[in-house]
Amino acid sequence: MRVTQKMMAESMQFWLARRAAALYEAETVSSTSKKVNQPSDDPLASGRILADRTTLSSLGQYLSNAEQAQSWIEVSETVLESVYDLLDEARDIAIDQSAGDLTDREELAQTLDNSLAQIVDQANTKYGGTYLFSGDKSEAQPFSNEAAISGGTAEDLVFDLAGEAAEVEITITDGSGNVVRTISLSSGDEGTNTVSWDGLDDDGQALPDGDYEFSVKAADSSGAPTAASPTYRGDSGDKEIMVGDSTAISINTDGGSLFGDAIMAVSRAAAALNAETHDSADLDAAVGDLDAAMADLKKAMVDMSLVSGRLTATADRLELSLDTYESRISALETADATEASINLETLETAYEVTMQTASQILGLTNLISLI
Amino acid sequence: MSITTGIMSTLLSGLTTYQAAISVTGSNIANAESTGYSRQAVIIRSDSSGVSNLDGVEVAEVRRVNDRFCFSQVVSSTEDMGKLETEDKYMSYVESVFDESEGSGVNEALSDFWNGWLELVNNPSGYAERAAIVSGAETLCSNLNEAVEQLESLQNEIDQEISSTVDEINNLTERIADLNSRIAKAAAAGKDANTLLDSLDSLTEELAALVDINVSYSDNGQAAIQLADGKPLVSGGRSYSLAAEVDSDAGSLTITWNDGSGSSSSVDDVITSGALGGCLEVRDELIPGYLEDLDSLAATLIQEVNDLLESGYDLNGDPGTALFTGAGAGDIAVAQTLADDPNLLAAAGSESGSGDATIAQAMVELQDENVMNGGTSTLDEFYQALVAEVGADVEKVGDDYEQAENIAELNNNYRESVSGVSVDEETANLVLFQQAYNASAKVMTVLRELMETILDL
Repeated sequence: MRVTQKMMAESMQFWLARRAAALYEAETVSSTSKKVNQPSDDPLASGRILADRTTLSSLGQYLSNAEQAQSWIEVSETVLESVYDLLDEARDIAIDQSAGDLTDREELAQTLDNSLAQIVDQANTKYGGTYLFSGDKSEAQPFSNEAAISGGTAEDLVFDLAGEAAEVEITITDGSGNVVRTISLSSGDEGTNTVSWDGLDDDGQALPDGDYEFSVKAADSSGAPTAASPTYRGDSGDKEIMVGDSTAISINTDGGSLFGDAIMAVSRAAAALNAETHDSADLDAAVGDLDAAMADLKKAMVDMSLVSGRLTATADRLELSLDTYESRISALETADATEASINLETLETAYEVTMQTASQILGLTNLISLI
Repeated sequence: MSITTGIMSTLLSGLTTYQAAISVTGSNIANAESTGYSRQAVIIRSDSSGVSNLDGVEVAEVRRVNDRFCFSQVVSSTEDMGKLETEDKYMSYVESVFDESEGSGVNEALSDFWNGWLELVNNPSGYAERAAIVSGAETLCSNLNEAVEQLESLQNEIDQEISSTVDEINNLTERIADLNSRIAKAAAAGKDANTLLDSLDSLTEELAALVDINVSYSDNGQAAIQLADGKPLVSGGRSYSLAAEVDSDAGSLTITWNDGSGSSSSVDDVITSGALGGCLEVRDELIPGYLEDLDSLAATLIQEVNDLLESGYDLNGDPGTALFTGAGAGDIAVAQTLADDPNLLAAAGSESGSGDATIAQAMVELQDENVMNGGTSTLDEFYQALVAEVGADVEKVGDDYEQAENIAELNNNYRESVSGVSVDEETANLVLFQQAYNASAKVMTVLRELMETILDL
């Protein structure tokens, strides 16, 4: 083939430019330590890297969820334990008194009243701004003896009775503890009772807006006291913690099923001790209720610790997955430093060789100068 | 007839011939580096037309050394280079729209959006979690809006290039037509038109870089240039112009060809190579494809999320309202009502439970539902596949461009091999012609001595 000087010069320029381009690419890989600096560097890997990043992000979130849930359960377990201990105490007192030693009756009645108040307090524990045990109605206090007046309208008075009553006395107190109204009824049903209140005090005056508390005393037709306890205001929803794409762990938040019977049982024992006449049968019935409530509570505690175990296992598994995905992304994306620098050196050498060749070609003498 | 005049005229023809040959050689050497210069070969032949029966010599032809096939190959690879260079340039901009190698893009925004709902499941009555979701949704919307904006502005830039390229094409075809006239005149006058032919090839090559053409030549060297479907651009001394007009339907420029008598027709479908072809390919095929995918993604997201929310209840116990407004990726936005009050974001499945996270949970599961591509991919997968597709398209254009460069290099080399000036070759010729000139001159000297001898008699 006929070759002119121009051809040699142009060819040399072409290859010099090509070498320079290859060198540039290698420099980019070396300085960013990444094989994939833009989608076109490796389209398949780009897609996978994005997908892995999304998964990594979700895994991080699931792990955080699992950890938050573990704190929630720890607090719940503490509550259940305290309530159990209180029930145990109450049971001992009831058995004791049923046997007939009436020396400290008044004191012990007071103790039971306090225990009841404490159990209700525990059931009403708040965590992170919401109630632990009111199911899905997390803004409503699980067990409450409150009735508020707002906009001039008073809430209904809702409470539970252990059995049918022939007399019910409701005492409403204001925020400072003053009795503002007493309502007497001549009958009460077993279970939940709803009594409407007109919001007026004993003198028939409308009471100002605010929070009010009430307490209930009831007795049956034979004059024996009927236990009254606060009604559960929540619902039966449980808390779902998502720890996987379609994996959710449920935590029991149903205060009604956890504590309803226990509260009623202690209430019964307290009512029996507070009664004017001592009645062992009542106390025995109370002990029976307490036994049942404690057994149920024990089961709930076991369930909760199982859930806690599952959460810990899940958290460990999630941490492992996080590591795996991080390595995967790294494998796809990161350039091997040694490989990159060797490649860079090779290309630099090639570039230098091309340049040397170019200078030789450019320096060739013409026929003209030799003639 | 006289020996002297016969010999003299023969020798004279030698001197003049070799003088001419030397001047052509000089011209070649001077133009050794000129672009588009085809070397001229001096064809020297014996001339028996003289008065004596001695053969003289003449320059039969100053032939332009040029191979039509070679040139047509060069034209072809110039067209490809023009197309791919343009495509490569614009596709690298397209790629930057989808480049998330440093993080922060649609993929990350989508991921954050789903995670926001995961947090809300944990604390369904929370305000902070809701505010975070709304804020994440706003980021996602603005990322999608921006992608569309950038792609559309790229289309506008391409329109500008189309407009200026059309002007350039018209300029070139006018000049080619003018050259054609001059070539015809020179041929009619029997003169050499080598320089004009070189210019013709040069301009034709420049034109081919801009638009794909069919070139044919008439006997006198004039070039007839047509578009791929036969519409003439240059015919003899006449040129036909292209125009870039605004298409009211598409809102973009369409290229039309004028037949010179007032009627014009659109040639967008006819032009497939050259810089113009590259522009059209990116503007009308590649970018609209990506825009369509983005719109599809946004539309499905809007519908699925809104439907889910509207089936639930917010913190106030009211039925949930839509989070997204808009129809596609260009106008997707967060509803003002929710931006102002995130508490209206529904998470619950029923009116009463503030701890009810049914809807929030369903939203998390939406991330893994195959709602795209006729039920075969999730929203995340769809976008990730789109990015991979863009990457693959860019890679292909890059590879094709490199390949076209290689072929162009080969073709150019071959043309240069045929038509290029080799200074060494010319130098050798120079020496030969000079010696031949000297030989003729020497014979003249001998002849003079002969005549002197006779005269001295």
